Amino acid sequence: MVLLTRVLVVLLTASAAAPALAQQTDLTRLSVQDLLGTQVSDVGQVDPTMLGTAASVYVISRGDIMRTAAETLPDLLRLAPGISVAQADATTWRVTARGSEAVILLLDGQVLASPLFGGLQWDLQTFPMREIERVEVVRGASGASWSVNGVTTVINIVSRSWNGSRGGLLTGGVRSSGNGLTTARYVAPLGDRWQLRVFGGYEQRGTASRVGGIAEPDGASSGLGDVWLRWKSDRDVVRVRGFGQRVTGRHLSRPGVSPSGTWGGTVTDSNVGGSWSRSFASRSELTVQSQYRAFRRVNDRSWSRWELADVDGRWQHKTRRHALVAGGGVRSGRLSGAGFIGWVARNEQVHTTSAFVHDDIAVALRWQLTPGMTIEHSPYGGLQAQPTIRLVWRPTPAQSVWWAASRGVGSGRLVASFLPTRESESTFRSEFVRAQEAGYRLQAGALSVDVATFLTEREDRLGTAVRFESVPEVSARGVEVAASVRPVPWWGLTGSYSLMHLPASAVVSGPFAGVFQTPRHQTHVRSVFVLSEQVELNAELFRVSTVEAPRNDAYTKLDLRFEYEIGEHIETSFGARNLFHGGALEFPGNTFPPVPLRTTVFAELEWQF
Amino acid sequence: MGRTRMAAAFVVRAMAAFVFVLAVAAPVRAQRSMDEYEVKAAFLYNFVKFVQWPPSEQRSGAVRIGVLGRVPRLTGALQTMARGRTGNGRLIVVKEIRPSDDPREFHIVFIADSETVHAAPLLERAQGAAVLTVGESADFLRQGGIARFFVESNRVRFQIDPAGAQQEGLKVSSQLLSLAK
Repeated sequence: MVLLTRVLVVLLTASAAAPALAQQTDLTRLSVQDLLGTQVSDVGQVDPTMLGTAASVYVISRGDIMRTAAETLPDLLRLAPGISVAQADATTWRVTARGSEAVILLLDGQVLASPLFGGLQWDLQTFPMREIERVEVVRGASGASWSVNGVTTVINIVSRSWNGSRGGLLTGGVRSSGNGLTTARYVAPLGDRWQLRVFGGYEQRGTASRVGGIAEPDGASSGLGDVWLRWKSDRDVVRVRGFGQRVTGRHLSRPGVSPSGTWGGTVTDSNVGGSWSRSFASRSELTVQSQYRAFRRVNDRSWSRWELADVDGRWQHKTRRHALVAGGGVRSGRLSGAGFIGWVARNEQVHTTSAFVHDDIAVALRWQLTPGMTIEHSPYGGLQAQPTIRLVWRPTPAQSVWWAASRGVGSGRLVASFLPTRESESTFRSEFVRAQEAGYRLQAGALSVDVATFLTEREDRLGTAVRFESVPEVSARGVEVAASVRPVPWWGLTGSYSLMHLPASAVVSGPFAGVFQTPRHQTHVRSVFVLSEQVELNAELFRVSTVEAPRNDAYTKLDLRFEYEIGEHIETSFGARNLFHGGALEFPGNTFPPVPLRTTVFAELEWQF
Repeated sequence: MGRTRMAAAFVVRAMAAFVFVLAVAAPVRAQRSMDEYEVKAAFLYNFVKFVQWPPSEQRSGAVRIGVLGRVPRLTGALQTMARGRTGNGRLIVVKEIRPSDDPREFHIVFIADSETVHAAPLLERAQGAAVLTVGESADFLRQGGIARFFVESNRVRFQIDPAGAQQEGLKVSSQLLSLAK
């Protein structure tokens, strides 16, 4: 207690002394040229448009992404409140939001990955962090947008736009964990209207699981290539993207899901897509996008292959009182495979159709009402309506209070789409979830606070029997708080806390026991120092509470990262992850071989040309 | 019990390390990067020098800058700069405005990103009144705004729509236009 008090005193003194260190610059003396060269602080910055949003949205900004010690996308998601992340082997993560693994990953609004059999295949989500502008995490009831269903957590990766820039970037890094990533990117404008971006990367992942202190062979290596082409005129933007990836690795057994022992395999994944947007008189915008994706996973014991094509359209129209968004999509897929639990699928075809509409209505001076509806038709679920209603009140320009209620299908779309057996039809149809949320936001100068509370309830229980194809969605309630303060432009302090309550009856038995358990308390504090124009320091502290059944002890860990700009074009960073973990497990050993937290050091180099 | 204590000890140690890092790091800081909105304020101050407004009945004397949206750092910095100084030999007056206010009373109207919803009607009312409208949203120029700030590689950049400025009767110096992106 005494120590704690001292710590607090030092903290307060530091924050009190900080502003005194900042010298005042006479801004009037700066010319336009000076100003163009002045570095601005993006520490602890919060998106101001958040104030008008009636949803649990957290944005991981570009500044956060550049500074964090996180090396993968799931690691990065630890920064968002309400998201629980645990590494299950070298290439598998368990990411849950509000007690559910129904998480959909979008890239610029286009479905990049959707849960197949419950969890996302994180080994394929190697989208390079340097290419990300920001990550928008919409927890729980995401509402109607981009024809994604109503109560699924949506992670939207917004890629960097590279507007008008030209040049290349080479990055390379080594880590004591055996992980490494080498990437190369080149962006070039082709004439006035065209822009080309080419990216290639190679990633190595060292082993993560340990049994009796001995490393299990669960590493992987992956190579990926990505090409973007963009054409832009005054009114139109056309983008085309081609992407290919190959992952070779070894996984560990998951009792009840995969056979015992380790198994090796290769995954190839390719994707071609495009989008076209046109704006009409600054009030309306129409976007049409389409993609085709082919995926093949072959390993020692099983194989699967699927193809997926989708077309989505979206129309936005703004008037003085309304901001209407409407759209729809058609998705068609085909799955073949033979695998672990004896299922065989031969060209199972699935077509889903969906349409959505929502309207932000300025009902009174400080009130905004957003009714929304998604209607989806799938062969397994039939016609399903998923309504939402949202309300925002802004008592002052710096504050907002919001409330939302929604009803939707509790699992990801692809879970529905690729159920290989007919038996699952009836179970899927009944999986509706009702969600209520309320929140408060404050953005006053350098301080921002975001509080969200939620209550999700299944309309009818499936009972204790867990079916492989229908991931249980449990009732849950909780509070998520995120706050950031920037006492001076060069120092930012960000924190988040989540409290999750799952009723005891929600504890699932069977092969997935514990898989859907989420720690009750999660805390995260991050401190960023821009020490000079060349040097930055980022410290991230995580505290995760005990998980029951299967039990995993609480742990605390600290990540540190220093960044040093050697020259105008060369930057280096080094640091350590998982300091002070105290031998804790990131993931308990009941379902998977345990993954212990290990302290690793890393160094990275980046060259811009 | 032992585990709880161990866990508690770890928390304290981790926190101590955190604070240590913090305490050591703060004083060695040599040079500060500036606040984004202070830099934007300095840009607006410079715009006064590089833009010529046609004579108007509604505005005479001081150069009036209206700020829509709660951006105290920008407003504060502008007010500090305006104090006792003139831009192009004219006094500068800074005022926080509301969406319902008349933009035509101002030479420059800055619309913060948070107020993007009010941008369209405000821009409509400002049309033809030689108001230099400055915004932050990605489609501000498409909406009919004249200048826009954006941040690229941690530096504030600006865009100007020369045709729009000309239509409004604003004379933007070629020097400023050449620095715009």
